[in-house]
Amino acid sequence: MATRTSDAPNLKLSTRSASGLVRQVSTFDTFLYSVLQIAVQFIFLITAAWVFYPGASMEVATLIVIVGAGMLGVAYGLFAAIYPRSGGEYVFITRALHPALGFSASFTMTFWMAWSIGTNAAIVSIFTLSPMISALGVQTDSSAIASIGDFVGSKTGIFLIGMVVMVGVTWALMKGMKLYFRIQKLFFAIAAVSLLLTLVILFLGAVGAISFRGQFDAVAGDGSFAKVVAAAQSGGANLHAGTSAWETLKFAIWPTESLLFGLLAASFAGEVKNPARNQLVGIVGGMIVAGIGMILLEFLARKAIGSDFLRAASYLSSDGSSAYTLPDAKLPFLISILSGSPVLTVLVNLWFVMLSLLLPGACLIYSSRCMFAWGIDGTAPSSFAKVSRTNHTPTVAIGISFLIAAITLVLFAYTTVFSVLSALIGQCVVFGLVALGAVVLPRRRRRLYEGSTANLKFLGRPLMSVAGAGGIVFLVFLIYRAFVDDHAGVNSHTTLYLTLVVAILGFVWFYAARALRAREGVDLDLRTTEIPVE
Amino acid sequence: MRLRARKPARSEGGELTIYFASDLHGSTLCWKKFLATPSFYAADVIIVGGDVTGKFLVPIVAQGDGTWRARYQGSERTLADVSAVVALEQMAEDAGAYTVRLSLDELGELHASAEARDDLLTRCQLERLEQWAALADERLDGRSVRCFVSGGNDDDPAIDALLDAHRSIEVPEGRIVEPGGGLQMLSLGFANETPWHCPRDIPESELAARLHALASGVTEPGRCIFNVHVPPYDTGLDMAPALDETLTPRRSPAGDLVMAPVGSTALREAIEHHQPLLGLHGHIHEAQGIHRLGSTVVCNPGSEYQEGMLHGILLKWDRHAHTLKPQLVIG
Repeated sequence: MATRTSDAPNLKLSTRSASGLVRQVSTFDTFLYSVLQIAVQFIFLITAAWVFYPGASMEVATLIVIVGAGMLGVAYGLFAAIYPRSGGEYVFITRALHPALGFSASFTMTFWMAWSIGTNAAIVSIFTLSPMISALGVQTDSSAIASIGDFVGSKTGIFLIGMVVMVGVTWALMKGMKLYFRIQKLFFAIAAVSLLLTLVILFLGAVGAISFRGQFDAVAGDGSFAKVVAAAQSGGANLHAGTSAWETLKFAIWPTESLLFGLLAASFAGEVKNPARNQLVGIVGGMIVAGIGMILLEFLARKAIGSDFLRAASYLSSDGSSAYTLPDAKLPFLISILSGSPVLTVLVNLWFVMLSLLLPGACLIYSSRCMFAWGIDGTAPSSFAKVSRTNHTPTVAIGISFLIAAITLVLFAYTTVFSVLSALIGQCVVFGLVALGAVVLPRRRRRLYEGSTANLKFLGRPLMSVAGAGGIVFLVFLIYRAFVDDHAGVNSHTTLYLTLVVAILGFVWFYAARALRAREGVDLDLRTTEIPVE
Repeated sequence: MRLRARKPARSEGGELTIYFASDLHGSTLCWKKFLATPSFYAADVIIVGGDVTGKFLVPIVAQGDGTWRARYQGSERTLADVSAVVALEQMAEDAGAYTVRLSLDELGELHASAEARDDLLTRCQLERLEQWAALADERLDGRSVRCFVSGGNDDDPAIDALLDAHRSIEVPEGRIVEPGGGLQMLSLGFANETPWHCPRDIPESELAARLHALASGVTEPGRCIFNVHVPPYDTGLDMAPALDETLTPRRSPAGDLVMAPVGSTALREAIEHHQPLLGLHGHIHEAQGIHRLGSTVVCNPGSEYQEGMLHGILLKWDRHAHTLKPQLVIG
């Protein structure tokens, strides 16, 4: 049995210099991308939904998801070690299961990620800039600033700001991955300092050095804090349910909507240094670090703002109740109120803004890399695989993703179509297919698996299969909850129909491309069918 | 509706199926797959276009207590017994590396002498090629398949004679052959000079002279294959990171890799002048593609030999209709 150790003599023999594929993306870059896709800033959705699961523990639910998503992260990371090629789910499912499944999965993910570029660009206005400016308006008692906040959150504001964000990230990605990752690191550094400040302020609130109640009453009027809680209770909010394991499990769908998406770093596995460990460490590490950060935020938010108020404000705000008189009740706004100062308001909101600014780019990387892989494999026109000769970036794929996102942004800003749409179910099914592939690959591709660095064991079984099986259990539960949980808002008829239509379209596209290419004398199966050897 | 991959039908009539791969770099798994291509793709002619030998030595050092130690794929490993050693040797061979069992003293001697290391690498390369050639004799025996194997710029010229001694392998280096279907094929494993001073790196002027001499023997360029290891300059098949004088990849002010074409200008001129039917190339592993240079189709299958994936170009040539259908395949 082989083990690994680190205190051997110099076992590396240098012979001749050799060229080879130069990869750009470090493990830290992958980790950052994973954290960005997790979108810790969406914690405000978690705290806003909490009231609808009486007795649920946000922290325990997040911990459960770290374990479940972490198993999927292990499966993905080991897959990437075996197949260090860009394309993520497309590569993994195609090779482990079937090309048609792989393409449909990829088509599904690409559709939803391209959709996400536009919606996440819109979210920059709606959930980060607008609340921050509104908080400034309240703190400075300035109607002018409040009006700016209203404009930013208006249809025109959402569209304009979203378009600026999308053009910016598209330009950066056209110039090259390294430039994008440099910008990512800079924004992340700013966000880290801002988040640290946020944690300090929350901590001060939690230990009583700052009184959220006092700060809230100062801007909303004496006694407003208590009135909010009372109004919510009389309106039907259950603020004092005992701890409930079942409600905690049900609530897990909320942190899932963040943590699962650390998996998407696999989309650029072909560009990473040290493919044997880059994705495994980057993806799982990102999930753990981001998950712990979320737990800390959840805990401190409860302690600083108060569990009752946190839930009551969300309850009233979601109902549009006049009992809640301030413009916003989500966490960024409440932290701004806690900070008690316009300067601090800007500083504590920076991490929400910075991380949200990066999310459209992260989605664009994913969708463009998938389209690139289709072009290489022949399931899409070869122009999809065209790369810039100077920057070596997939310019056509990036351009197509931008166009889809622009349409999404317009629909999001000016219609209500997207208020009922969610990608979660479709994406969970895709993640589940990868998990299934992880279960079967060590047996179906034994030689490849045993010759790879993914050949690790857990209790005598292939770690990849164990992780995949655990991931499937986790995802089955989640998908079931997504179907039945109306509070989660991911089960509208529009969502379900579109999820099904997109998946079917993926199959149709694959077989149509296959037939078309066959008429040209090209057998697409030969791009993915491994030659058996004795 | 067919849901499973199907094997293509055996070529009939005027159609010739050619399979081309390159840059196997010592991967025995890829070589075995290559030998399986006549069955899997119904290929009549199979060609390896150069760089068949590997580049990496992996010493497996006896510790004196029945255990062994080795460094492979970036991590150092303790191997508990001979079966673990054999497993590592198999894994490394599949990925193109050469393992050698040594004592600590022998390892020290190798560290002390670059010449000794080079000699050892060459011995390992030739031994493996000998095994490959014997396997080819065994697996292609009695089949009506022609197997051409050329060396590339990374390959020692000594491999040509070794391979040529085997009945199942034809070494077309430096000459024109007729693979079938009314085609001619000229082959050249040399490349324009690289920063690594490989065994078959030569100046562009010499490359031009060799190409000119070979091409003068072509009777019908429209039915000729240029099987030249290096790709033609600036065709999309030769983009690689540009290097500075320390062989470090150059970066733009934004931090991106600066990519540059590194193919041969002499070959590009020769193709533009002669306009052969087809150019088959390798050399740049990540620049897989099928493009055109005038009326010539030029191809580079790329390579992922270290992952055991055999990249190839599958070509259907119809001699009567004079049509050529190339396709990138990965097996």
